[in-house]
This record gives sequence, structure tokens and C-alpha cells, in this order.
Amino acid sequence: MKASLERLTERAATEGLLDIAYTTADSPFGPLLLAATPTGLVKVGLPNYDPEETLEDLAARVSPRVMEAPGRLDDARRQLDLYFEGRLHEFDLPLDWQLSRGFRRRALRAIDRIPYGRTRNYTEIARSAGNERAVRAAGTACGSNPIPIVVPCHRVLRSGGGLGGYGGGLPMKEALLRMEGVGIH
Amino acid sequence: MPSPGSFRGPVLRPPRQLLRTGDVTSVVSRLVTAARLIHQVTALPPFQALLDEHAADVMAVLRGAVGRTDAEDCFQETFLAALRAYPKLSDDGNLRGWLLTIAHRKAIDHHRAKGRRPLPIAEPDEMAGVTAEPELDEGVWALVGALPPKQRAAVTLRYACDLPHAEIAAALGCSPDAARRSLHEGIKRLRKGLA
Repeated sequence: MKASLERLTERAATEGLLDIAYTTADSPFGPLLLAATPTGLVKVGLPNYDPEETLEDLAARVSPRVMEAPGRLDDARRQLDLYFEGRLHEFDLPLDWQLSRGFRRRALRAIDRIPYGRTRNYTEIARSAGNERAVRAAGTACGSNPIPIVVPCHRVLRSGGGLGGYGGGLPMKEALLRMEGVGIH
Repeated sequence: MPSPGSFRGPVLRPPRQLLRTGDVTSVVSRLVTAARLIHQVTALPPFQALLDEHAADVMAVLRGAVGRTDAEDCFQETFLAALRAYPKLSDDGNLRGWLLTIAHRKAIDHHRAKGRRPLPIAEPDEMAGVTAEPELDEGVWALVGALPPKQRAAVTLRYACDLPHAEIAAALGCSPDAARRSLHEGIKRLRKGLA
């Protein structure tokens, strides 16, 4: 049965019928859910989120043609492994931004350009996204980041240097920043 | 007592006042919320859930219908057809029945393509995999494999997949009475074969 299902996934992908491929990947913080469309990585589910709910949400928002297909996410998993080992500083993965629109997408693209081991504050992100006064909206954009870790919203802090928030929980944000060599006050 | 000109009952309010900007916003936001709720209720589950729950049954039905060797091809065709149709599926009340219906059609297509009528009797050892559960008697399933197509499908759907008559009828594309008859005839033949 396993071989039949693997064959099915491959054929579905070849025939353009696999809209979302997903798998889980180990991380130091617990299992991550990785999901990709033919365009690229569309979702990283952090360990404190229910993967079932995330997949249902993707089925409703993107397409119900969602299938487990670990092979389609080998590259993402390999790069995440290297990142957690501290051996990869910049992800080179195609991304699918379709879950974010407008200001949020611009803010997330700005966040995507923050280099490894560096931080920005919410005001700077708001400015990069084209509206310096939309600081709160920049915070919301971080909170709604569908592709955390790869799009490094953990590198965005409060203007005073405070940690701010994190979907995966503040201990995870702090651990990621420490791993990247950022001193936390 | 107010004069008739100053009276403003809700019915007499001019349309412009019926929907002020604030009202429009709240009506729209309520509609959006309602649409989201409806969407959540009717949203199709991830296709993987169908595979997890029903792939084994579909394979069992197909092995019963076309034999172990050809079941693999029919299995692929069944789920590729299901994937093609899935996003536009409006009624997700019986996904299992829907999948088994497609599987049944693929089995019929397969028989037509091979021009086999009636089917050759499958070798007993080749039919060992037909059983959905290992404790089922292999000999019985070898006999099932030798039944005419409709009876074989009815028996497999009933006993390998535990489908009620109405769902068997839906899968076979016949009336519940006809499904019941096929099942009955099939069972009678099996009894005779086992005697």
C-alpha cells in the first residue's frame, strides 16, 4: 500500500494534481509542518500549532488537493537541518507568498531581507513596507507570518530592544536569536 | 404629541438613512464572518484524509473486482480521477461512497479494455490479497473472484467494505432493490460453491 501511495503522489505531481505537498520535519523545538505548492514553500507550521488544523486551513484557503509527499520537501528539510546546526545562514528556497496580501506581504518581504544574526524593529519594518506609521500593522504582519523561521520574523524586535511577540512562543524566539549570536537584553 | 411631519418611524425613514456608513461596514463585516463560517463548515478535508481513511478499502474492492495484479493500475486511475474532480465536489457527505463509485467505474473500464467477459477465475494463491482482513477465508474470496461482475462487486462492497445496500446501489449505479438482488444471487452462488 505504501508503494502504491508513493506512486500516486508522484503521478499526481506530474499531472499537476498535487496542489499542496506536505511533510513533517524534526527541529530542536519539536516537529515542524512543511507545506509547498508547485510555486514554493507556502507554510511552516511551528511545533505549538496543530498540524491537522493547519492542513485544514490550507485546504480551505489554497486547495483541498493536499497530500503527504516528503520527497517534494527534501530541499526545505535539508536546509532547515543545516540552519538549526548553525551551518546555513541564508535559505535558498522558492517561496509562495499567496497566504499574505498587501501591506502584510510587503512587510514580510522586508523581513525576508533581514540578514542572519541581525535584527530590526517593528517601525523599521513598517517603513520598509511603505508606511512608517503602521507599526502595529507591522507587528500583525509578523504575527501572521505563514513561513516562520525561513522568513525570519524572529529577527524583529520592539523599538526599545524588547523581544516583542512570537507565534512559536517567546522562548523559541529567544533561542533562535541566541543561536544566531544576537545578544538579548 | 408630535406633529405628523416630525414623526419618524423606522418604516418611513428615507433610504439614505437606512444604511449609514457605519451600518454598511457592520453589515459587510457580518456577511464576511457568515461567509467564513459557511466556508469552514463546507470546506473539503485535505485529500490526504481520504487516502488515510479509504485507500485500503478501495484497494480491497479493486482486488476483488479485477484481481491483485491489475488492482494497482485501477487504484492509480481511481485516485487520479478523484483528485481531478475533488476541488469541485459539492457534496462531501459520503466521500467513501464517492471513491468506491469511481473505483467501481474504473474496474468496469478495465474489464471493457481487456475485453474479458466473463472474467477468468483468478488463481486462489493470487487472490490471497483480496481479503481486507487477514482472518477472512481465502477460499471464499477465490469464489468471489469467480462471480459475475455485478454480484462480485456487490459481495465485495458488502462484506469487504461493510457498505449498506443504499451505498452499494450508488456505487453500482442501480436501484437498492437491484443491489440487494445482486448481493443475494452472489451469496447463493457462493453457498453452492462452498457446499
